[in-house]
Formats: sequence, structure tokens, C-alpha cells
Amino acid sequence: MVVSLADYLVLSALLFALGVAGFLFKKDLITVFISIELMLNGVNLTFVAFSHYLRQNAIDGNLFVFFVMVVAAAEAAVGLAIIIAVVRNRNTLNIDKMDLMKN
Amino acid sequence: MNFVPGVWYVRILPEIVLTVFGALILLVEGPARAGNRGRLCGALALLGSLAAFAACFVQARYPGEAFSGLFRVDRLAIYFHFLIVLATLVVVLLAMDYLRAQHYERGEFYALVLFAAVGMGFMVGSVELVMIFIGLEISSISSYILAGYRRNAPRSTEAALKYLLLGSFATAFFLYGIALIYGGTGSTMIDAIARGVAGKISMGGLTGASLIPAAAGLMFVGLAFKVSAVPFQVWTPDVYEGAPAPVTGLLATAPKAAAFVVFLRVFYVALNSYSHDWFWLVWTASLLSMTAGNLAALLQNNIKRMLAYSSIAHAGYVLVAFAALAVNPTVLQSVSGPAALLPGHGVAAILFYLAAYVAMNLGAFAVIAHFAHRNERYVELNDYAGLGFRFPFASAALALFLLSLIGVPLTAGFFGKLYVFRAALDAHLVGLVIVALLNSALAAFYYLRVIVYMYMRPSGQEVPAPAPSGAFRLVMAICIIAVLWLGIFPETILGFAHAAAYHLR
Repeated sequence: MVVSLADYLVLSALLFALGVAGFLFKKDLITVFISIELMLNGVNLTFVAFSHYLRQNAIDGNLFVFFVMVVAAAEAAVGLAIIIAVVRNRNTLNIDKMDLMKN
Repeated sequence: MNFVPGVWYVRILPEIVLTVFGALILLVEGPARAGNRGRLCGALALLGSLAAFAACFVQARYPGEAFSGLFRVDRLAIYFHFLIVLATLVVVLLAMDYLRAQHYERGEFYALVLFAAVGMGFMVGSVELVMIFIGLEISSISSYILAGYRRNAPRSTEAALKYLLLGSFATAFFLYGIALIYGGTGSTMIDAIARGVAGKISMGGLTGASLIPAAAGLMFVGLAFKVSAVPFQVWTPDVYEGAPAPVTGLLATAPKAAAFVVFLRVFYVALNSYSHDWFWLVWTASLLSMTAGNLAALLQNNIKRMLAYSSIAHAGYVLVAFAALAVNPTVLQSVSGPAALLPGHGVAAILFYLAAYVAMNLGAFAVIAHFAHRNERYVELNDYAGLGFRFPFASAALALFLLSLIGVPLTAGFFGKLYVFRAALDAHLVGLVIVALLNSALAAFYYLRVIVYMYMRPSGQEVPAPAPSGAFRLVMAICIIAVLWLGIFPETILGFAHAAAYHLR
């Protein structure tokens, strides 16, 4: 069986959608944060697939993935630090408890 | 082939200067004595933003492309580099007083402000989507930390958390949009997309052109988050309320202006031939942002939160001009002669509006930071009762900025609104303009309420504001001059904005 571009695109769209669903419905801060990483990796798969199928030996799409990975790593470092600061203040990871500011 | 011309580095000189000074602050902070650490880092940051301001003049003398067409110094980039660096300068000055009052005098704060400005500089100058994405992330990641800078205050860390989660959620959408554009057109260069977007590339049963509307939608979601347009505004009130006041001033102004520049480059330049597809997105978001922002602002008692809703409404006004661009992308008067000053073109209206918006909003947040006191105790509307006579200078300045936000003649806000509405009328968007006018009248109510509290209510408690320092006076001078200059001599800035618009496509 030949794996076509459409298969890759459907898979990456699924990964992205799973990330969105996790972000919207999960209650745990860490899970929500990992959902965002899942979305980014879905996008990475799209980049690589397009890069392979657009032109033979095209490297630009593959290259973008490295940039995205670096950015995601920076975001994770800052994100975990912020989560730790929040947990120190609140002693909870439940996202529904983050409601100090309301109208 | 590996030859890298030196002029490329001159074209990103403001970014280089800001990065060097940011790194220098981090290096100096460690060995400095605890007593004068804050003052030293603040002085370095001030020097850095002044040097970056000078670097903008150098950059402006070398227009052209840099780094194989990834970065372009055109008039749009020059205009916004000046705006961003000036906003950075004001925030640094503000932070010097504020951090001392809050007992949070650390060097990283200044370094992060400078790094955020670097990211914004790359956002407005890049003409390649992945570069734009990286600029966006540099500025966003720095602002996530800044929002949570009062890390022992639960509200501040909660603001940082919400900003982080929703911000990275939004950038993931933006990135997915970039990936689909790349697949659909085979390129991520703005110019190449504008040329090749007709959809010559096809692969399998899939044509490239069929991916573009989806990509436009995804990128719209990402950018609408950044400019806090309804329905992607949920984070704005909480983040603006919880973040330290000078940071809120920064978040509300410069990154939004930079995001609108990305909006221009992506939708107006790259995806112009798809304007039928994104017109309704922009039209709807504009209508909802103006109405929802102003209605919610009416109900607020916290001043920072009220200005957060007001900034949502202002994003709506700017989107009115974008809707006008989608309908009528070709209305361009000749650039020479007085005809150039006719506010017929949406791009010029957007540029002028953003300059006015940055000036008046930064000024308002500066006064709020001045009155906030330790732990931001005095940020409720009731705290402002009777302040007008006890602190005449700061109160009068705040009144001026609020009047400008309403759009009273002789202030920057008036011409900002006038040009945006004029552009929309030229594009026959009468309905949208009527809604915008009704909204402006509605907005006057809650801005005036603050002025009424300051001058017509007896003071309930003694708010202990410090005596205005030199830094605060300088901030006020910059913002007041900017607001009045744009309100009395708008044609100077508008002429440049027109030229920037003319050379954009």
C-alpha cells in the first residue's frame, strides 16, 4: 500500500484536532500544556509531508520543523516555570480553580 | 556564494542593538551590588532603547531587503520600528518607578522588555512567514514571563498562565495556517504567495488553491487572538488585570500594532486575491469586537479591566479599516501633492490609527501605574474619586488620554477614527460605520465616568501617590506631545503613512 500525501494530511489534521480537544476539555494544567505540543507536532508532520511531495529533495519544509521544535522547547521551558509559580501560589493544578478574576 | 553583505546587518540594526543591551543587562545583573542593581539595569535599558531609537534612523537610510529576502526595510517597517522602539522607551521609563514602588527591582524585567521589542521588530520587518512566526514567538514568550512578573501575587501568575496557554494555542493555529500556505503555494515568502496563489501547483487529487481558504481561516484565528478580536478575546481582561501595570501598557499597544502589521502583510499583500473569502471574517469580527468590547467595558469597576475591554473595542475599529481594504483594495490617490493627504485609503488609516492608539493607551496605563501603589492596591474606579484636585498634573494627563480614546477633536483619537470611518465609507460599508459611530457614543460613557469620578466625587480615602519623578514626567511629556501632535498636525504622520501604503504592494 502506497502512503499518499492525503494520508499524511489527514493524520496531521487528526493530531491537531486531538490537541485542540485536549486543550478545550481537559482539566489538568500539564495535560492542557501537552495538548499544545501535540498541535505543534501535527503541524510539523504537515510541513514534512508537503516538503516531500511538493518537490523532490526540497529541504525548506524539513527546515521549518527545526525552527518549530526550537520555539516549542523555549515555550515549554517558560511554560513549566509559570506552572510551577502558579502551583506555589495555589497548590492546585486544576484549571477550573484559576478564577481569581471575574466580572 | 557565502558572501553576506554588511548592509544586511545595518538593516536589522535596531534589533541587534536591543539584543546586545538585553544580554548586557543579564550579564551585569549578577555581579552588581544588590543596592544599586535595579538602578544600573534600568539605566542600561534606557541607554539601550535610546540607542535603538538612533539605530532606527540609520536603518531608515538603508531601505531594501536583507538575508536573501527574508527581511525587508520598507516604509511600513520603518514606521513601525519607530513606533515600537518609542513604546519600549516609554515602558522602560515607567518600569523604573514602578519596580521601585513594588520592591521588585530586578534586571530581567528590562531585558525581557527589550527582547520583546526585538520580536516585534522582526514581526514588522519580515516578509517570510516562518520568520514572522519566530518574531511573534520571541515577543510572546518574553511577554508571558513579564505578565507573571509579580510572582508572589496569585493574580499575576494566573494572568501569565492564561496568557501562556491561550497565546500558544493561538500561535499553533497560525502555524498550521503557514503549513497549509506552504503546501498550497510551495512557498512561504509573502511576495511569492501573492504571485503564486492562483494555484498552479497541484498534487494528487488535491489542488494547492483549495488549501488557501482553510489556511486563511487558521491564520485569521491566530492573529485575531493576538489583537484580541471577538470571539478570541477571552484572555484579554484577565491578563490585563493581573499583569503589572507597565506590562499591561506594553501588551495593549506595541505587540498589537505588530500583529496588525502581520495582518496587513498576510491578508492584504499575500492573500489579496482571496479577499472575498476573508472579508466576512473581518467584517464579523469587527462588528462583534466593537459591540461586545464596549458593552462589557460599561460594567467594569477595575480600571485596568475597563481599558482591556476598551482595547478589544479599538481592535474592532481597526478591523473596520481592514474590511474596507477587502472591498476596495485599489483606492489610491497619487502620492505627491495635497491629494495624498486625502484619507481615502485603508492602509494609511490603519497606520495612523495604530500610532494614535499606542500613544493614548500607553499614556493612560502610565498614569494607572503611577497611582497603583504597592501590590497594585489602588486600581479600582472608586480609588480615583477626588484625585483630580489632589494630583492635578497626572489627573489632567489621564483625562486627556481618555478624551483621546473617546475621539474628541484636537486629540489623536479623533483623526484616527475619522480616517478609519472615511476609508470604510469610501468602500461603501455604511452599516459597519453606523455601528462604529453608535459604539463610539456608547464608549464615551465609560471613559467620561472616570473623569467624573476624578473631578466631581469627594475622595473617600487618601490614595498616597508618589510625587511625579523625572522618568514619569518624561513619559507624560512623550505621550501628551504625541497625542496632541497627531490631533493637531495629523498630515505629517499621515503623509508618511500614505507613502508606506503606496509602496506596500
